[in-house]
Amino acid sequence: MAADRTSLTAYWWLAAVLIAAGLIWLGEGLRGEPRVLAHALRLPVLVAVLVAATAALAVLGVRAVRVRHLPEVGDGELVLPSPSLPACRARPPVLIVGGLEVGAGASTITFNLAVLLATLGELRKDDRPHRPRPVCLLRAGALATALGLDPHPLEDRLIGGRSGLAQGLLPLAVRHPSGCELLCLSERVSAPEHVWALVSTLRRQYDAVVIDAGVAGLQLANTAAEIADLLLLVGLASPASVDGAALLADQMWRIGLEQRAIVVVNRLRTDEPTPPDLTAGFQWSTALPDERDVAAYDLRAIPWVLDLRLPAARQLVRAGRRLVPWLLSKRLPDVA
Amino acid sequence: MWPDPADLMTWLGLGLLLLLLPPKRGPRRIAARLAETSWGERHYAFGPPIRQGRLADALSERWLQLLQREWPRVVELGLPVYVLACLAEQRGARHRRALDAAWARSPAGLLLDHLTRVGSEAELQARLEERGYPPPPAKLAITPPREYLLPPMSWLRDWHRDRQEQPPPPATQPPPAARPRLEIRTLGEIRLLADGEDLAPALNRKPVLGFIWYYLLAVHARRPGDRLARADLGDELYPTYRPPEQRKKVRQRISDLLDDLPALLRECVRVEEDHLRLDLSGCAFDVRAVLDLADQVRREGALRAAALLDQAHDALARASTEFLPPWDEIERKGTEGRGVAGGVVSEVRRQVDAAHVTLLLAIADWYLAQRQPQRAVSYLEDGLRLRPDRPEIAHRLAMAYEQIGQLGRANRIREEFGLGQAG
Repeated sequence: MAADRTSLTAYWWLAAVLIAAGLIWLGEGLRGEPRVLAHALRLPVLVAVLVAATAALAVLGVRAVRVRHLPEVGDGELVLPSPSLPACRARPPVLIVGGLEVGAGASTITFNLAVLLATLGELRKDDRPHRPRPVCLLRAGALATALGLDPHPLEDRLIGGRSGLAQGLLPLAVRHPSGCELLCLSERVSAPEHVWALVSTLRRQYDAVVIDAGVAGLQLANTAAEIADLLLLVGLASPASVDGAALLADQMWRIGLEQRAIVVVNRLRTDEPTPPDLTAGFQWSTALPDERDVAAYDLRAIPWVLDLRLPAARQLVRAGRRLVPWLLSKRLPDVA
Repeated sequence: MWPDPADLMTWLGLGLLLLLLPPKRGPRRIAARLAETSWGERHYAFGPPIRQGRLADALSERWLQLLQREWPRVVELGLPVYVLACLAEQRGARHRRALDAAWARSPAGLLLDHLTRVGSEAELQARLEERGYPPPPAKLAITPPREYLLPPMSWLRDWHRDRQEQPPPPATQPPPAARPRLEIRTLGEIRLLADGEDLAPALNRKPVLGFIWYYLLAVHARRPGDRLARADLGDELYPTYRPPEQRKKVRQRISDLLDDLPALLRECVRVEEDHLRLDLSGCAFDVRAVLDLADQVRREGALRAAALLDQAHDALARASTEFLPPWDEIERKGTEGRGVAGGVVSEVRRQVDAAHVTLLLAIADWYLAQRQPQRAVSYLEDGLRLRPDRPEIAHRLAMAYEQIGQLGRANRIREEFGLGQAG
């Protein structure tokens, strides 16, 4: 992570130079020796200063001609390195996203990851490209409500225990304009046996399954070990997330899930470095920068990953390319 | 003595040069930052100016504003690096504008535009199609299971009850399954089985008659109903004789065939005026079973019924062996290896090899259709080993490996056979 230093550096340098020049001048004067060096440097320094000052003013003049607006970036810009993540080879992939604390952003990342696969993914059949059809299971909450999803039909279907799960379940999925299909999970159907049944049915019908598991706990880790190809744990740079990560890190190693577990540090800011303990127990991690516009898109239930002008969207696309390289199209707009 | 004020100016001047020229950042970070800025990842290479936002319209005022806002950056970076940073920032801005333009035309940009403007789905699809992008998939629709209309169970129970009240019909033996009168096995072995007895040793003890019978068998295997001309048989057995003697000798051999062979074998021989052939109706012939099954698969394009899968496995086991393995010895004893009958046997062997590959691919396709690519791989491997000149087998094998997640092998196969990369 590359943070910007403040412009106070310039003031310190200026002060230091003034003090140093003053001290040298006083020192030479009080010594009483002939000031040969100072005399010798007088003219060259004068010329050099004039040239440098003129050049600086000229550069600023040229800049004034060409620039009418200085882009606003606040206190600084966060440039994140390209993520190093494991690739999921299973087809279709099953990705589970859990939060290390409430409000970490698991739901929005689940939804946007699914839309990313639907919009920018590419599969080939009979040598013709076509878009994949992922399914996204969102936890009931603000985002699901904004998308117009209702958890009750799925709850009735699963808890009712009727047979013919595929026939009854698939019509409940709501199609998003990106092609991704959405289902809403309530707390009542988040038990492992329900998730098992859902995933077994969904992976036969869809090209990718992305599940919002809510706040991640030990039960999620055990479920993920059985059914998930990758587990993404979303946290913030906060003590609550660090505590959640510490608990789950031990469990990951204990059940052999460490190769498939990834920590996603969400809403990272320039003035708030990642706590090292958040990612220390995991082999894989990545980060997403904090953006005002992301929250605005979420309120309107519009997937922010589509706005590739946002650094957060570009970083999620890079992460997606690492996670499912065979699925994300080579014809993506260049996100570097 | 008092310090000379002119010297102060000299030292201050040196200090100013120190402020203006060298950068105050690590050299390694400078290159990385400039690169990130050139690529548009950063707006500013080394942090923003004191105040950002719009500048004045008048040039002189703008210049003063820049002087006021940018001087810390000039000091921090030094003039040369500051110039490089400005150039990188401009280049980055151009790159960002180009990326934004490309994004606006991409599927992500078009979809975002659709979602924010709330246009119709048809408009979105038209715009995607215009730019050559595949449309988003439609809502998943599954085919509902077929409904079968059955009579109610009560009818069946009533019928059973009625039957119980009627006197039972006399017990009848089920007709025995029709057994072939002769079972001919020529793949990997030669056995001619009739009621458990193998007639092949008896035939093999008569080299010339055995040759004639096996030759007729090969002709029938190549194409059922085909006939062998007496003259061709004569050329095989007595190539140096003149035609009248040849015909006489052939008549004698045919007479011997009809007298000396075991009954079941001679009953298969049909003698016509100028031709001979075998009539194997009521007999089971392993080669024809394999070739007929392969022909059926080729006509229908695949194994159409689960019952055929077992037959295909049986046929595959047999087709991997050679037709009439001791043919060379038979021909040597019968004609001293002088004739062309071997060509018929070779042709049948080629047909069996082709059937072998057809059955391998049919079984592989069955498993692929059942979404069991891991079971299909071994059959495709065998098929490719037998026919490395068929790139479509390599392509199917690469796809099967991709489906089971073995991308390394899939890529090696694609490279080896010059196939395009998968999507």
